[in-house]
Amino acid sequence: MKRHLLTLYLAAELIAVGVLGCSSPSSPSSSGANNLVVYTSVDEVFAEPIGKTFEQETGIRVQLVPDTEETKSTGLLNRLIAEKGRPRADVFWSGDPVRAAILKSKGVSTAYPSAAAEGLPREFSDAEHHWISFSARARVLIYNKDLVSENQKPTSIRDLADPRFKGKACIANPLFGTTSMHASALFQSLGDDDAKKFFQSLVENKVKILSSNGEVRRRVANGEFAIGLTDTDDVNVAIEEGKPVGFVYPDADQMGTLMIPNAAVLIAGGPNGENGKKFIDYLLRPETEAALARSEAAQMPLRSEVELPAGFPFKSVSQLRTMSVDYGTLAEKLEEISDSFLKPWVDENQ
Amino acid sequence: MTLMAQHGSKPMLRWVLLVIVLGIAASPALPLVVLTLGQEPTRSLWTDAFSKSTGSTLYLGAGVSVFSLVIGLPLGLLAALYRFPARRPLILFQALPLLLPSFLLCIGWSNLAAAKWLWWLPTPDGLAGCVFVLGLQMMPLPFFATWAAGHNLTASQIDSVRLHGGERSVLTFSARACAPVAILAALLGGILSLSDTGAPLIFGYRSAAVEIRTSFSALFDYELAGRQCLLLAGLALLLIAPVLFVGLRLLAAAVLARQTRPAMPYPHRALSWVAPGGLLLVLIVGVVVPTLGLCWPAAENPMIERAATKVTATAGTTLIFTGGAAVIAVLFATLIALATSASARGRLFVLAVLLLLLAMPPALAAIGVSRIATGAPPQLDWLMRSRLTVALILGLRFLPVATVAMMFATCGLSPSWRDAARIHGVSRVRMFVRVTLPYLSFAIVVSLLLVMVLAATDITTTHLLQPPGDQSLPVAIFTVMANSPEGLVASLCLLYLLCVVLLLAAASQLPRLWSRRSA
Repeated sequence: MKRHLLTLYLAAELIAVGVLGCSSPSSPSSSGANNLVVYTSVDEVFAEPIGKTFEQETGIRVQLVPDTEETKSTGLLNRLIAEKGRPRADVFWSGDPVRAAILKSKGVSTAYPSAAAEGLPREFSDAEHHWISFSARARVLIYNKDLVSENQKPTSIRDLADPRFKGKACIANPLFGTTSMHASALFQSLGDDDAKKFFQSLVENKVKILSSNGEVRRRVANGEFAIGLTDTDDVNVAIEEGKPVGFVYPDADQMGTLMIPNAAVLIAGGPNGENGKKFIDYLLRPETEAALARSEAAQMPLRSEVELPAGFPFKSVSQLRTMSVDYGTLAEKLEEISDSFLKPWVDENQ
Repeated sequence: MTLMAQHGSKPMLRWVLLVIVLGIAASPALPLVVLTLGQEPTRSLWTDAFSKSTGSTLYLGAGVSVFSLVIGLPLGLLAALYRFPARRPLILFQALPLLLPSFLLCIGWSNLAAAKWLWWLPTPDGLAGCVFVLGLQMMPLPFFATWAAGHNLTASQIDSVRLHGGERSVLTFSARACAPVAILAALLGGILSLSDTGAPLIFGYRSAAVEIRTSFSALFDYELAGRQCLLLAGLALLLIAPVLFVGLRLLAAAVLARQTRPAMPYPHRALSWVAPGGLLLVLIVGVVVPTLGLCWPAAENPMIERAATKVTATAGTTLIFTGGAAVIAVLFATLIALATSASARGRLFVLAVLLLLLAMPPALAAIGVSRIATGAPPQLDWLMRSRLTVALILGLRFLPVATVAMMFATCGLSPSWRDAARIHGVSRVRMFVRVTLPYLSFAIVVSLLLVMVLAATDITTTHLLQPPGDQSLPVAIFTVMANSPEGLVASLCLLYLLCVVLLLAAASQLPRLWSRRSA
């Protein structure tokens, strides 16, 4: 009887190997007239519904490959660069324009001047149409209402270095994600010397460097820290969960708040290029901006004419004083400061 | 003269087989290694930051090994030697910490520490926090290794020691006999923790894995990351080589002289209560407490239906990735173990190579494979860009774990069995199917489960290689946890745990089914 059990077991092994061996590459259908592969660093919970409605409206099957929190904005980027010679993705839906610009500099993307970009402000997009921006998040200061009273709440990112928040403020690691983009924008906006002084002041005020913006939100909401620097979608999640948090658009009357628009990138040589273009057109429509505003991400439409949903927690982009940066060169600046400043700064202070 | 030579087998053939299997195991990491060594470095490798983080990493690896050994060895002994209530489920559920990615455990602890009513709970932080969480997570490795080694102690050995010196002597003798394999398993745990970025990132500890991640993901410098990986792996191997050398020799001595009547669990009055108490305590501290921290948002805002949809959508893929990885790892491990069963030097060589590969961060192999696949013709996509690829790379990554388990099992194969078969004219194939395979079957099942479990928690490899449209459950949890409501993440974690518990419960029935059918 034992022998029979063993035979059964061996057979199961063979079947397992057989099933795996027979599994066709990239799920049978990643290339074909009716398919589309989208890599995205936008959170899956926000990207998936858009993919589903595109699928329903066009009949094109969308295979979404989202990034994870652990490798946010960087795991898929590495994968796209490694796959450059024979890409599997048709579109990269980036959560920020810096990663899109890196793909351009590595020769992974191709230009696509979409007609659907009509009405979107041009300053947020690539002049050569390698990436086109739409709906945005903003970099904001989140604070715990139990720890910070209304008249004590921060108003500028410089408040992270204010003695009243000494040891009670946190930011995400500036080598990664949108915090790296913010660092790059600060260097561009303030100039190298002032930006370095600002980072030094953070050290003197014992600002804690955490692993991600999600962790900043979580630990401020928990009351471990009084204030932190994060993105509006993180803040919205905390608000919807009923956490005792508030937020502030930093430097509303000075250098402005940094906007982080999404960016649609067409991958050069993708297996379903035409479907990729259709998806980018779909992303850039005012209706998609409206849908992203209604989503849990509560993204801010770049078009001023897109109506905000009732109870929308944030202002529209046109109502904000936005930070004046050249989005096209942020990636270059980031590459420069990552090596020369940010890496040593993190090494010394984390 | 080695046993291999004594029994007239073909050592050359075995070495060729070994080289082929090791070549396959090393192949995923090779592209980046070659790239690394073939290029002029653009950045300095041995910076202050990297040297500091390398030192920190070695402390972390050593800390995790020692901590997991200190808990795993005594508990494994108690579990193997004594009869106590709920013995089988308690032993089986010790595997639970391995099933949860460290990232989740750390967030669980962090959530708990932030709870106001738990102000008295120390916040895990820095090196101590990492060692605590990762040590508890890796504890099952030395625990199960000790438990398995304890099973191999014979009744006559234990009875004579008990008669001579009482329970204390039994424990001392058993600890000595099981220590080599437990140390080896704890070292494996320490090495696995070297490439973990979750705990160091959350607890603010600068390990080399974080440095390598920075090189990969912030500087996009594969060449630097590759050299850092190689250096770290080489250094780890250099430091553990003496332990490995001595450990393997002791292991061989401990298991080769074996009888067929194993010691039965003994109903000792005091220790029969200490054992379940200890096992329960480790389960509570290692799994229940952090899981509570992770999952309590589900009580406030349950999203079980939404989470169940995700679990249903990802269950098949998860099984295919992890089950495939387990089959591949165990197949190769069985080959390696049989090929080296009579040669201590061969075992040492193989383990050294495999541990070197294990010490490398998973991203290195995954990116390497992506690069090979990109350059390969589309006809090879079934191998290079499919579910099989994910299973293969996961299987090769955890090959060392399966190999140690299978080596341990094959050490008990008596050369006299082969002699008897030869004298009676039994073919090698028949001998293998009728004797060797049934003898190894328990170790095979244990290795399969172990690799499945470890493969499920390797997020990096799965995420970087999974074909579009295929997502495993752990990757799905990691994907949604950034900005999803905490209730959804908690509900997903709860369902994941439930699946794991059901799997373990089913596994606990396996030996019973086995023995009933055999009867």
